[in-house]
Parts: sequence; structure tokens; C-alpha cells
Amino acid sequence: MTDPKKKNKIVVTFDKSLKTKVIEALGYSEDKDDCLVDIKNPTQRAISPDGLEVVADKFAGAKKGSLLLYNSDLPSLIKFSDKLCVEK
Amino acid sequence: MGLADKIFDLFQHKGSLINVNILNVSNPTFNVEQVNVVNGNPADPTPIVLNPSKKSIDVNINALKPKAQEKFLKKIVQSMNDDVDAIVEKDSYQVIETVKKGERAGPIKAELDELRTYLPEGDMPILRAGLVLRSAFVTGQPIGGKTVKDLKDDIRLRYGDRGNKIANMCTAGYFETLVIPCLRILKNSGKTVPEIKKELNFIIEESAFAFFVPSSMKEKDVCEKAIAKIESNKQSGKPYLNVHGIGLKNVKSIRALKEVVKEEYSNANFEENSVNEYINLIITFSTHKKIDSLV
Repeated sequence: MTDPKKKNKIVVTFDKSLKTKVIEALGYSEDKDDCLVDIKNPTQRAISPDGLEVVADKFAGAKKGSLLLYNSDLPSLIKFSDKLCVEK
Repeated sequence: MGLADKIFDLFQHKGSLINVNILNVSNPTFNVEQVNVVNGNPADPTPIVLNPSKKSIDVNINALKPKAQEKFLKKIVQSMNDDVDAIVEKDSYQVIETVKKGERAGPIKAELDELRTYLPEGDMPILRAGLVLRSAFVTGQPIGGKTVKDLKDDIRLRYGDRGNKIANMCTAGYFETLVIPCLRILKNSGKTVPEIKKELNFIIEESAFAFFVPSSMKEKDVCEKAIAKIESNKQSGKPYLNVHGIGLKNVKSIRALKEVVKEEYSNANFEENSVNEYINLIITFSTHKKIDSLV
């Protein structure tokens, strides 16, 4: 058993083929333009910390907090890495 | 209860697995730092694999029944309020790890630290991306499934012309062979930070039409390459060439080049800026080559 008192910062990775399932579990779906939208509010597109729309095909992952979603282009992943580094 | 325990609870729950009673591993005794969710074979007899040395566990989600899969992913998302920091697609995580590893120590960290004060703030993210691109270029291996072209496209799409210039300089090795040595020379010469910034900005802006002389190049080749570059710049409507060189040998080669260009081009003008072992020769030329028969 892991020590319940010791809280780790766990990173969960997933296979690309599971992308749609992960997006759904996060509470998002895709609109007609392939952009992620809030399942409860389908007119509300998800916006990355860079201020860009998050495209389903390029979805890279999510960070805890106010649930930040990232695209998979290199500049976005560098910003994602900064967020992970800060708390690691 | 941490995520690892929740995962084991779910997998051990009767009716969750496609093949019941096949899970024969016990909860990890180490603190799990990474959970890799894979889309494996549903009949996998070992749907959970512990990797104590990596402090990670691999979980084959396909060994779970569809409802349990949904529940499993929901548990991960709920754990983002607790011990899960992030959920990341595997290939993207490889890129992130490359960035983190490169910038934690070694030559990339050293380069970034050295340049941080002297590059415009907006260039730092481009340079960071450019150095990832350079890693892929040098090894010839994609990073997280991204080829050199993919990485270059990512930089160009986000940062436009400036991104393109810095990306090209990174793959050409100009930062380590020219920009940083030049920066050191300028610093030692007593130039101020704004003066150095201006010089580095000039190098980046003009990089596409400039000629950076490699230290290994012979004088004869320097002249040949420079003449070819002048002709190429003329085709692009740029009646000038910036030649940069570091080291006494290159300073000598570039001064020899000056004499060759004088011979080859009428009305060629020269502006030489040199500090210690760094030389920048700006050659401006007319669009007409000297024709021997008319001379």
C-alpha cells in the first residue's frame, strides 16, 4: 500500500488511441470544427492558456487547477512543461 | 486513498475485468509518480504492470469492461483534485520530457542561461523551441512522433518569420558556433547590454541573407561560398551580404574575401565592424557584375 499521508504528484499518460475517451472523461466533446467544447455548454469552446482553441486532433492533455487544456504543438508543449516543472 | 489504490480497487472489483480473477499483482509498495494508461489486448493476463525503478505503473484499460473503463477514466479526472498533477497524451509527454531534461542541465541550459539577458523576451520561447528542433535535427530522430519538419512547422506557425529565422539558425548550429562566441567577445569588449542586444538582433534579422563562416572552412571556400551567396541575395532583391566570422583564421579569410569581391563586383562597398576576434563585414554591391571586356 502506498502511504496515504504522502501525496505524490502523479502524471498520467495515455495512448493516442484513447484520446476521445479521455476528452469525454474530462467533460468535453468536439464541435463541427473539431474544437473541444464543454459537454454541458456546447457553445463554450475550450481555450488553452495561450488563448488558442483546443483542437481535438491536437489535444495534448490537461493540467490540474482550473483544468488547463493544451494543444500538442511544440510551443504549447513547452508551456505545458513549465506548468509541470513549477510544481514538480 | 491515492490514485494507485483506486486503480487496484477498481481492477480487483468483481465484474470489472473482462477476464475475472486474472489480476495477481498486489498494490505497489513504492510511491507511484506515473501511471501509463495503454490501449492493450483485452485478454491481457497482466493488465497492471509495476515498474518500481521508474516509480510507474502501466495499466491496460482494455482489460476492463466498457463501463469500468469509463469509471476508471472518471476516477483519474477526479484525482486531479487530489494527487494527479496532469493527464498527458504519451507522445506529447515525450516532448515535454525532452524539454525538461534538456533545460535541467547540460549545454541547452547553459545556452539559454547565457542568452537570456541579451535576447528580447519574446525570443526566448522561440529559442527554447528551436533547441528542441535542433535535438531532433542532430539525432535525426523524431521527438514524440514529431519529425524535424513537424517541429519546424510548429515554430513557424506560432512565431512567423522571426520563428523561422531562429529555427533555421538553430538547425544550422549558428547559436553555438556564432551567436554565443560573438556574445562573449562583445561582453569582454565592454559593450553595454543594449548594444549587445542590438547586435544580436541584427544577426538574427539578417540571418537568412547572411553568411556565417564556419571555423573549419578554407579561405578559398569562404570566397566561393560568399560569391554564391551574393548572387543568391541578388536574386532575392537584396543588394548586400553580411559576413560574420569568429576567430583569427576567419578574420583573415573574410579580409581576403573583401579583396576578391573588389575584383569581382563594380561599385562594391564595404563596412567592417570588428571586435577582437569577431568580424562582421557588410558588403553592398550593384546588381551588375564587372564585365572584363568592358573594363
